Amino acid sequence: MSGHDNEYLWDKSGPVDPEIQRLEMLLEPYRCGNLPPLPLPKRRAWLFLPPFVAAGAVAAVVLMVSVWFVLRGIRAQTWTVSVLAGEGRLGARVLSGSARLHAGDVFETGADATARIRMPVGRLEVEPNTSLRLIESKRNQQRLSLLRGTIHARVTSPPRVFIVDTPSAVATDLGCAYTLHVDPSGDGLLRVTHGWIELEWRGRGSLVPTGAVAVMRAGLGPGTPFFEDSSEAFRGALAAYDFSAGALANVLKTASPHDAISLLNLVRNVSASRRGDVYDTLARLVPPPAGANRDSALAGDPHALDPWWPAVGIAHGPGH
Amino acid sequence: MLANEVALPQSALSFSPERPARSRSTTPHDEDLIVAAQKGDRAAFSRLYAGYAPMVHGILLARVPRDEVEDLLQDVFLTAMKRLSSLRDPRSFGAWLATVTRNRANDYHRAPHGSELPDQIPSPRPVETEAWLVMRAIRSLPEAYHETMMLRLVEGMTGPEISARTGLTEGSVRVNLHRGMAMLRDALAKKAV
Repeated sequence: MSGHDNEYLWDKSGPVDPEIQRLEMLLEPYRCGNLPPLPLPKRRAWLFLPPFVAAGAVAAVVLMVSVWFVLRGIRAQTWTVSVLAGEGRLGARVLSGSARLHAGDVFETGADATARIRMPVGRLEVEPNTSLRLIESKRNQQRLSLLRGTIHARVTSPPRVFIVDTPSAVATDLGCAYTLHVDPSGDGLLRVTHGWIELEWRGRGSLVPTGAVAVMRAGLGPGTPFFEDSSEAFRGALAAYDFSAGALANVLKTASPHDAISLLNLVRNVSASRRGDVYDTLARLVPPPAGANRDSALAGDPHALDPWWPAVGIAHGPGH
Repeated sequence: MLANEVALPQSALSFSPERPARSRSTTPHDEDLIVAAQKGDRAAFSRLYAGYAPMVHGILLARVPRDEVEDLLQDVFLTAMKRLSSLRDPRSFGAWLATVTRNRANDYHRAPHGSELPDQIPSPRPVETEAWLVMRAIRSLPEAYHETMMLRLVEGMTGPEISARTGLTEGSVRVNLHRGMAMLRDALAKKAV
């Protein structure tokens, strides 16, 4: 290109400038694509009134709406799905743009499709070959079921508002970002990139902090969380204990201080008769912090382990 | 000095002296839509949303992380809808909307949005593609050029369309495009993209 005579750059007339054309094609994926529906208020004529009139109207509306919220307690929340690439399906309908999701809707991405779901409490990036159903969207609970595939969640709500059901565990957000995968067999994998997730299945629960992963098995529930850079011996012993009736002793024997978050979860989940063994291994690997109380932990006090989380390198315990 | 060239007075441009000194930022058809929208016509505002979204999108892309663009785009139009009654001259809608967009991008950078989650959460997929490197090079251009270049190369708008939408004179847009493109070529050559 050369100065002011490049008419292709100016208005796409004249000879095509190959480099500019290459950049246009390269950057096309960044272009403004399918627009999500603009969430216009249902009655909005007041927005266009002179400010002093609008202010009065606003005050009246705020009062009425506040009363309505107090009486109702719960209100429906809007979810919007936007297909970013390829095609998705919303129920029986092929979707290539954006649409609202309602409770009960099933959304699926094809093999080449990706999508983004904007929720009242954050957003989800949806990978190809994913199927999910919106269960409910209320002020105090946003819940979906991940039937198969992969989602990347970034959640901004207070803890315990956003919940994902999977065939092998219920994942409750405690303020975080994470990736959740469910394969066609119902097995799954959770990887937490920030914050905490609580996994629960038939009374068995795990707390998964930043950087940790948890394997889930259909019919067996979630395994004990661990760091992926733990030793192979420890990970193998843990998997055997969680899903194949392997010996707890092997887990304790191969644990290192780096595995303290796994041991903290095990203290919660092993039988009462083995709790002392796990606690003592933990205390041997990591000096007990001020406030730690063995008797309370062995008695199953849910808060007895709170002082341990900072001691094992987790800045804040779950729910903080 | 470069920043001042965003809105060069027409008198400073020798190659298009016949063009008006100041662009209208809307078409006559848009003006009808704007007037209708100011009276509460929902369909009219939706058509403005569809027509001006690429401009807003491009301005935001030049200024905020890509992941935030879609949410902020909706914020901009909701803000515009609420404030539309204060717009006295429908012909300046595009320039006014561009200002609303830039202000929203500035607010984004001022807000403590990273307090609950870190700014950089690991991306679910690799991002350092060639396109990503080019986008970064455009964003690194002087402010006078990165917005215009984003509208041209990413949003696919022509120079006259950029002028009509943003309210910049055609001369200013032409200067921004040519100088911006030259700087972008230099930047890409240094990085061998």
